[in-house]
Amino acid sequence: MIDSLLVGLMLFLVGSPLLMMTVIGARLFLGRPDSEDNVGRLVLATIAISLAAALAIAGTMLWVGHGRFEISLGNWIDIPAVHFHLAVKLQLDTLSLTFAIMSLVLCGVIGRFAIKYLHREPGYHRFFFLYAMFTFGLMLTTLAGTIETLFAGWELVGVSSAFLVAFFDTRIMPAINGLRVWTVYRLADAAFLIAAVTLHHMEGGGDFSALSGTGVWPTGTSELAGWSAFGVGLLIVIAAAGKSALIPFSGWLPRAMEGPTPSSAIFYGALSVHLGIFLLLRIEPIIDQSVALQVLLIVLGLSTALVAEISGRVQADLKSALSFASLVQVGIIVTEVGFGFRIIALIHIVSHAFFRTLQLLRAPSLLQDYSRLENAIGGRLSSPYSSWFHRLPGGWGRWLYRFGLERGRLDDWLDVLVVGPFLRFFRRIDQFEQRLLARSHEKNKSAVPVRPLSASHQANALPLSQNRLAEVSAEPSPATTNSRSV
Amino acid sequence: MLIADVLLTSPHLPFVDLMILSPMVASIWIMFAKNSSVARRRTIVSSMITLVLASAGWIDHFLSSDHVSSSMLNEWLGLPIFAIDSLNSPVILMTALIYLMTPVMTVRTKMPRFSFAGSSFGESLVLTSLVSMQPALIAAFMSIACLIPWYELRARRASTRLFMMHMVAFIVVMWAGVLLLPTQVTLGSILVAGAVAIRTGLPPFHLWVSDLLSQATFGRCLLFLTPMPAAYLVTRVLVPVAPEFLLSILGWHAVIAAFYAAGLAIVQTDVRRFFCYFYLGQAAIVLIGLEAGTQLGLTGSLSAWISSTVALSALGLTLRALEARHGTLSLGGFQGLHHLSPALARGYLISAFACVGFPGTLGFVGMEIVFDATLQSYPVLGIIVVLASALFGIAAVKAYFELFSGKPRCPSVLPMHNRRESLGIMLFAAILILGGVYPNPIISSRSHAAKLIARPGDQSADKQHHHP
Repeated sequence: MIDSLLVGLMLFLVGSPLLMMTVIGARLFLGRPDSEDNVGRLVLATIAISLAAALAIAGTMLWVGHGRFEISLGNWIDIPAVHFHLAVKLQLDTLSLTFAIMSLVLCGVIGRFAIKYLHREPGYHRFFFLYAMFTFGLMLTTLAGTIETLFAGWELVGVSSAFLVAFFDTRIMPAINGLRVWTVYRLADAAFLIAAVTLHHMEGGGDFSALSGTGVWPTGTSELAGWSAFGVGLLIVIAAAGKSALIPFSGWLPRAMEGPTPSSAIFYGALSVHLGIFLLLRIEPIIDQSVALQVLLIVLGLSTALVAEISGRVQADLKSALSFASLVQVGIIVTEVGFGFRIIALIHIVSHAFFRTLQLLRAPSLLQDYSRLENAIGGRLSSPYSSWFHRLPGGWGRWLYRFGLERGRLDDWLDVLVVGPFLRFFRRIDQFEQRLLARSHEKNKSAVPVRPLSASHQANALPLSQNRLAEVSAEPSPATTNSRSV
Repeated sequence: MLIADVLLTSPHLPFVDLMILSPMVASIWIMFAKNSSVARRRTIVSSMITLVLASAGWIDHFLSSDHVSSSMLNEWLGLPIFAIDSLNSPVILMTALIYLMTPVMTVRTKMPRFSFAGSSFGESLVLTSLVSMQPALIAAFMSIACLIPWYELRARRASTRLFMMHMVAFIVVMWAGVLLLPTQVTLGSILVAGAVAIRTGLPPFHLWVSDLLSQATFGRCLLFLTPMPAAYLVTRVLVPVAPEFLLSILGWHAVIAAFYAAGLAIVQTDVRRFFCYFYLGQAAIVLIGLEAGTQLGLTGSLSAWISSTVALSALGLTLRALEARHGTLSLGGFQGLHHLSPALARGYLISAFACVGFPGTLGFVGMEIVFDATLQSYPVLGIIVVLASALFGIAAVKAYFELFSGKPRCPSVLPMHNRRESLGIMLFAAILILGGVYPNPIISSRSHAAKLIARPGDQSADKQHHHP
């Protein structure tokens, strides 16, 4: 009977955000969005139901003494002829429940905040659809019992995050930054997908019992060992690094400030940025099997924290400063995971998430308060913080200042080493192909050019660089002539 | 008495024959329409009838004891000529749907430029090639189908050189392969594989695709490209007999083609060229699984074929609708079209994500199985395919931002909301999302079809791989 109760509660826990996403999404897609009041009520009601279910599950499991409970929802795909199946399983344990409850509380707070904050904003319904998708993806990720289920939730979180960054779609910079976020997520997710498929192939299924053993979290021993553990673990570490903005992917986190304040709170403070660490905690038994992975995590965590600390010290706006402050904590938590301190890492995540969400939601009104205080006293308030750069000998202070201002030049290095060569190579091929096409049209002299060839002879600037932005800003609006080829 | 019993015991209607003949006869009827509006209405009626007949044929094959719905010609000649079976049944349905939705979603201003009679005749040819059981018949109808885009290019006084070169090469190589297959399997298979590479547009034989897209009407291009008839040639003719080494080579070729297309899709500044490389990538991914040779790979590919057909068509029709409103679209800047065409923005997102295999869409399952099968057989290839898929995702979102983000335009004449287009987008979205949420019926049917064409050695290899 307890098992049936848990199953029922679990369905409410996951089903409520799914319902929210379906209702808001369906009405938006049909072009008949509901009123703001109804959307607000739906959001709060579904989050409240989910949270109540999560708390009830936690209470029941504590009362009964269950450390771990798994629910199988059947096979999403089943091909008996080749023994292939993708199972949908949900798992309740200390890690997943803690994360789920934390996520729901913060999603509820942010949702309540956003209902007022985005009142009469043109993209109100679009925001809450993305918010609902994010919440559902988060529930699926934290409660997943198989790697495929986790991957599905992971992708939903990624796409909703990227589109929240690009929420203000009348401006260009949100779109550019949203694309950057999406690019990092997508490449990191490729690593995750390879890990998921590899695990599926090795173990005949994607159950986490193969990754983390059948023990109750935080205990557990992986069935993988040796190079298998290192290979799968490394791929998952890459995925986690992308999601949690670890080095060298830290560049996307400050870019995410383009989104509205509630979505910034979701990213920096609370949830999205901790999802990578959640994944690391979930696969901790694999990390235990490989000293190399542990060392890698410690190095990644410490270097991320160091770079973020230096960068955060020189930021001129509050949201950027808070984003780097978040990143420092994320780096420290990853280091804790590398050392094997699972419980400490989980407590650190929860406390950091609540604290940072508070700071980020408070940020806009804090600036207004400071402004009023300074107007009242007729001068600047003294800052309790001072940079220690100027105390360093020689030019070190200036060097660190520049390093921080340029955010470690991580994005630039990625552009120089990866993005730039890739784009240049394929642009050259594209130009070559266009020349071939043009030549073939020239040889057919009786033909009338029906459609102008694409203008790929524009400046070869990288699409995300500043000089490209300057060109785009300087260009007049594209002509909308109907060519006769259409 | 159950309906099924009635259908099984009553004489079978010749659904296959009616499905082939109906659009062919209708094309003559459409040719004599007095104007393009009447032509479009007649085309829609004809396509709806064809879709109903295709659906009836599908149900008939499903209910028959041997899961085959045969043509009357088969009985008369005593040979399998035309039939609907597990392999081609969903493809025929999807093709008929595409041929219906294309004229439905053609806006009034573009009607004079689109040949509705040609569309109906082309539908007949494509469906006939998809129900053909004999390699020679498949080759014949695929050859004739090449004439329709060629004729349109000629009518528009566009350059046909590149298209002709490739199609002539395709036809010659295909016929040579088909004729040699009975006696010289290896050489015949190599030639047929070459023909498939040309018709699909695998690099370096892909220039005709971008050439066609830049010169022909978008609707014509969609109808010629998205059903992917070359995949049928592979499944029906090549996979059952081709030697292992050839399938491996084709697999490598398709993987490199997918990565190549993904890279080029990212750097495009023209919408049609962007769609060209998107199509090439999807077609390559379909072929990857077919050439893996295992039943799992074939299942994944057959599923990916269905999802790619629907998703690419939806994407193409959405871009076509955008072009009809806003003219030639550039991806070099930020067009700000979201506020003018929000429904098309939503349609673009759903279809693009389905193309790249996003979870929750129809494309996810097929892609996942293809990745699994490829990683099993050739791990390095599998990694490249996953990377290619990631790059396609980046290209899709990049194009979305460049089309729909940015300062909103304020045209002097607002683009009108078109109910038919909305209906089309909703229909495709429903198929892509419902199929993604509940894919098992499709996967089961594809697995059954894969079993028909997989070789016995491949089936046992699957079992070994999946048993820990």
